[in-house]
Amino acid sequence: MKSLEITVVKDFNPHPKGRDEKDVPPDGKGTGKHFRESCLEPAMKKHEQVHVTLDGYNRYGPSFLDEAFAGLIHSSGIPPKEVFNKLTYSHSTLKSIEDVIKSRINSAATVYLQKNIENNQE
Amino acid sequence: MTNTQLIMTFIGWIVIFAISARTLRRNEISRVKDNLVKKIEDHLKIIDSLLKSDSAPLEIETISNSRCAQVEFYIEQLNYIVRFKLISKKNTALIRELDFRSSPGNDISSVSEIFYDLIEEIESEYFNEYLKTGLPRRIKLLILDLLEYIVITLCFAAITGIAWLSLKFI
Repeated sequence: MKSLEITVVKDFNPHPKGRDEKDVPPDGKGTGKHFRESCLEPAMKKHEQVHVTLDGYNRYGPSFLDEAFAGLIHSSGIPPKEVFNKLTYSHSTLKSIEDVIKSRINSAATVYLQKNIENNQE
Repeated sequence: MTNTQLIMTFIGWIVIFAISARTLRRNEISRVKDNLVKKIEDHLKIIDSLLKSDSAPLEIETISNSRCAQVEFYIEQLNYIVRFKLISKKNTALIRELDFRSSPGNDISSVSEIFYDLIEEIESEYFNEYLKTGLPRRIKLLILDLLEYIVITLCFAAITGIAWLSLKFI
């Protein structure tokens, strides 16, 4: 299937927060890790384009955004090129949320590439 | 009343309306700007008290993000009233990105720097736009405002004229 749009508040949780089960015990429901594992990763595997709509909630924390989006690279091991090509995201009123996601994905990509370079040198 | 008197009255009315509307708008801009700065300072005080009380990072993050959204909406309001992008949201993205588990988020002096960068940007942009402007720019802004009010007045006059004509012929 070609493309998929995920609306976080409708398809996942109306009040997402936190990074993982340490933040929201016992099962990490509503956290960035939960979103990545239950929604984003499966979508990235099945579809050519995935768009995440963040509208409907304005209080996304950096820990949620980092674990959900940058976690595709640093936890799930998806190559940065695939993430940049396949994934898009938007929040229609608060562009700072998009800026945070972009910044975190770029940081994760930089770390991933540095590790690859070190592994190749070894 | 002769035509000349009518025209002079009309022009005088526009000038008074323009000065009054301009003053009100400037007061509104100043009020929203002051509220915005106060919100940011209160946000910083809350984070300071939460960091000192060893609150959980997630709790601080949740509260901080709630206030971040409010600040961003206030910046939108200010940009809307001034009719262009007076304040960018670059610094609010830095506040939103604060991770209270590790540096710089868990160090109040680093957090304060980010907040005061935003406050300084707001105050300096406001000062440069509204207080520091030279005479040519002031005249240009005044002319633009006057043109706007003339258009508004003409529209109002047209609507009034149409309404009067409709009533006359009913």
